[in-house]
Amino acid sequence: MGDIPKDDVLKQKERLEKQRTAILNVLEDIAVEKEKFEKLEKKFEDIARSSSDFLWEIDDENKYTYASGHIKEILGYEPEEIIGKTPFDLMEAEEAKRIKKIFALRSKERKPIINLKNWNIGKGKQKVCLLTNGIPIVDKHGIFRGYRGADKNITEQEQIDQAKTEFVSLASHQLRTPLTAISWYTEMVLSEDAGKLTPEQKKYLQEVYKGNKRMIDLVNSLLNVSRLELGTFMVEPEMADLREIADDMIKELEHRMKKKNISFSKKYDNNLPKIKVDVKLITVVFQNLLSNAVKYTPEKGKISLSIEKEEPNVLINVTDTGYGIPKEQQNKIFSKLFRADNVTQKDTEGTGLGLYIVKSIVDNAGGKIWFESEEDKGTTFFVQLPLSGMKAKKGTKKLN
Amino acid sequence: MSEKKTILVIEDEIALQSAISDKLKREGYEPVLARTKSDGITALENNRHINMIWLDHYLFGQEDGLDFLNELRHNKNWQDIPIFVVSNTASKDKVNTYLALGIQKYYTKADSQLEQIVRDITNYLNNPNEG
Repeated sequence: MGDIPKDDVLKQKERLEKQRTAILNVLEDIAVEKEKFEKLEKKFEDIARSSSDFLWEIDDENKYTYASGHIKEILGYEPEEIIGKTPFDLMEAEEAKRIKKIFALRSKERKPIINLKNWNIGKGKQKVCLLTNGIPIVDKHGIFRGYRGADKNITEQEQIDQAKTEFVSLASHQLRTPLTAISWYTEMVLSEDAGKLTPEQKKYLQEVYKGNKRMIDLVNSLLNVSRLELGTFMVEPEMADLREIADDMIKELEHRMKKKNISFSKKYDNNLPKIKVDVKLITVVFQNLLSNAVKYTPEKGKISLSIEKEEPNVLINVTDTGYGIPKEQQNKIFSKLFRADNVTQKDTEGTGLGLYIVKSIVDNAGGKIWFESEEDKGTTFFVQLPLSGMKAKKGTKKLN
Repeated sequence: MSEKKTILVIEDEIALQSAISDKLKREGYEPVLARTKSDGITALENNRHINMIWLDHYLFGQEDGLDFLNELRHNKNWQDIPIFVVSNTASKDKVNTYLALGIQKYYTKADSQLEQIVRDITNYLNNPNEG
């Protein structure tokens, strides 16, 4: 073989030099990246450690692939003990079923899990209420890989809420007996069982009777709220015609509408089938929406009601030309005990419980409620109920 | 010449018991009053002609309206006496239990007018098959 020309050797050397530099550069880059990564990991670890929440990651089969150390304080488990388990393994059967269903629905749509309250059983068999938030993990090919998120321990808060609700329930029950005594005795005096009354005496006593009636209504509403919150109310669905339920309510309100010169119109879908609903609960919905419309619409106003089929739902809507809900308070309208500023001055009788109860019922029925409102123009409430009807729910208490 | 009809009122709250008693007397009935389950049973033993029972759920003492009803249903002589339960305890399973035990009507006190209940009693006693 002949000698390798000198030029070639030099070229080769130069090429190797370049490669060496390139490799060194890559190594340097890797070192920088590594440092960055270590910093990030440290940052994440610090955040995970300093947060009072328990941070986690689950794979597409809902199995934990990561759990931060705080799980030990919250549930009593070491992180290693729950890796490979699912969140549902830490719950009682019924709760596990409910939460699993929500996870399945959310992951199917790749939606985040937001403020999901769930009850867990800790290692020491203690009940722990967690507030779960998580975002879906989707890889670069668009494939769903699980969730990452944080759980807050809200057990104490929940227990306080429960104690409050139980107190309201107990107090309301106790109030009913004296309220009944006032009601029955006033009724007897008003019937002149105890002798004739002067017109003035009669008028004053009627006010006592009316005031007492309002108190009974308030106690009933408070009891309903506590039953809804304690989950002790029952749902007994039967086939019913929503139009008939609405008509019964309208009849009750006719007198008040006449007094305020309000014109009322209704539009019912002729093909509306009977649906399976708890008549008592749906009556409460119509009663609140319609009586609110009457209460908060000035004289000579208009109220209309329509009930229509919109597969797979029934859409109820109640429109009034009333005072409306101020824009800045619209987000609070379904909150418990909330009353908008513009009506507290006009009407002192509201309790701030009606729409809260209505929303709880509609939510429980698998429906939706929303509204459109403009101050001094009016409000429309929309209620959507599934045509498939309500599901039976065993409870101990019925709503009044 | 019709004799006054007797109604056994079992209600532990004195104020309510006395209102019921006054109203019944006014409408021409003869009320017999009791506050406990055993007083109620004694009253049945001493009065042959009780036409109807007005029963509250929570009673004075350990036993409640359901205990009273249970004992009543075991005595042949008392099985056919109509019963109106008037209580502030509207828990659905209790109402259902009472109805299953064959009571005629159930009222929630706070939501009912005294006059209306007494009117219903009169209607029932006059036409027992229509109630």
